[in-house]
Amino acid sequence: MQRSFRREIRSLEGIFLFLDRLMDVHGTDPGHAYVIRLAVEEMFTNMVKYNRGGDPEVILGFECNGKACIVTLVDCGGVPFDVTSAGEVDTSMSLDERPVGGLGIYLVRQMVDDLRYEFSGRCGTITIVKNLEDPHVHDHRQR
Amino acid sequence: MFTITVKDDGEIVLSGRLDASQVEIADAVFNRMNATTRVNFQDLDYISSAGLGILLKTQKRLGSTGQFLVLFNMNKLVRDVFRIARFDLVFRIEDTP
Repeated sequence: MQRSFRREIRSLEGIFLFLDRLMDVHGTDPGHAYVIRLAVEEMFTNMVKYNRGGDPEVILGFECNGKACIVTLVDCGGVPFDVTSAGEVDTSMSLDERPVGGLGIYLVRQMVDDLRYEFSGRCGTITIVKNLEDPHVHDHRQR
Repeated sequence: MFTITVKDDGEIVLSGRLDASQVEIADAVFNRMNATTRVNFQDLDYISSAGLGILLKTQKRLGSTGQFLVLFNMNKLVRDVFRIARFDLVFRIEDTP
């Protein structure tokens, strides 16, 4: 199942509705559903903020079986950005040292089971995999 | 849907989904804080990095005058996000027994 959403922050309401309906159909548990929503929001908002020259719409794809949910975001035009190569965040810093931004990709990398980026032609595709047979979050995961 | 309410005693109550499309609503309230404030998460179902950023920005600003936020009544899923972000190190979080 896939659908296009306008490249703007207010599309998030429709994106959540789209995801929630599909995850309801699949009986996705609340923890896994939370991680999938968060991963999609973080990736989509990055596209809105940092790829303003891209096509007007981003294509969101979703499929789920009993073992995993796989979400894709296809972003055409503009500038390629490999989210898997984004810099690490030092979460041990003190309050004064911690930057206010830059946490989104870090959270996604910690919470999903696979995050891939491919660029082909004029389109970048982010693929997010969340295994449903594992706990929704893992303690002290290092990537 | 996200709502933020300021109670008579100054406590902030968050409700619904605090995502990137709602941060301006939250920011308008947090920007006005200038004293130690309790923030009740009881009805907050979801927070992303956008909401965390508002809280961190506020904590930094309050911290410069010795004030701070006290976060409490988080559900487990929201609490997991704080734990993974290691916001335990920068916020006072009161866990529900």
